[in-house]
Amino acid sequence: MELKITSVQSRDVVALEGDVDLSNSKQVKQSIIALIKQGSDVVVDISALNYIDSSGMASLVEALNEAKQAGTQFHIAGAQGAPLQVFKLTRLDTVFSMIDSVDALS
Amino acid sequence: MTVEQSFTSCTSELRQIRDFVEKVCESSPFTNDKLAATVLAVDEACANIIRHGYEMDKTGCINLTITLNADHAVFLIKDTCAEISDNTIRPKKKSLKEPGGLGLHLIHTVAESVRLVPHNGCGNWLELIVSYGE
Repeated sequence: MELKITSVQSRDVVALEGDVDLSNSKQVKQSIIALIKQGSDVVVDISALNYIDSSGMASLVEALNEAKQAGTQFHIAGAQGAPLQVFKLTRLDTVFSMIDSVDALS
Repeated sequence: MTVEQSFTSCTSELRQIRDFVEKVCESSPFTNDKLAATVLAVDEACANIIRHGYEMDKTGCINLTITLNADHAVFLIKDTCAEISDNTIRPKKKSLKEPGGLGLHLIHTVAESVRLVPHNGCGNWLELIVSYGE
């Protein structure tokens, strides 16, 4: 799994590539929540993500809850393929702000 | 067709488990979406064994047997953890917005049958039955 953080139009974009599972979901959670605690609006770009399991989804839920508490924005961008299927199976696609791509916010 | 393989309880093995399930089921009638969901369900079951059964101890063993039948696949996942009860594998009635319990929800959403198989000896035998249809 690769995690890259860039800044786009005053938002922090966390791009995830590869697989997020029990072996690395804690790292994902810590990285995103650290940005939220700094007061950043965060977009998690999962357009290059191949796989995400329930621990990865739980990490995103915790980050969303953290963003709500901090009063910052939190979006999921570019969900497709197997990861999108997991969002739908868990019905969390109705909970997150899902956008087509990072560019959709510009 | 029945295929069996053993893995360690290290989280890095989850990728190998997913690849194994995908490869064995390549010859089955699963659609791409159903196969992806099935891989997820087996992965979730194994991740639960690693996290809750072996408590992240990397030295445990997970044995996975896959049987491809005419209209469904059977996944038998054996561990050597302390025995669990049927209640442990039932999905919890809680909001999906709360962390925890998502894995069980996914397993039961994908698999038609989820049960502990009675057996002699130690550990748990968890059986998932997944039909090929949507």
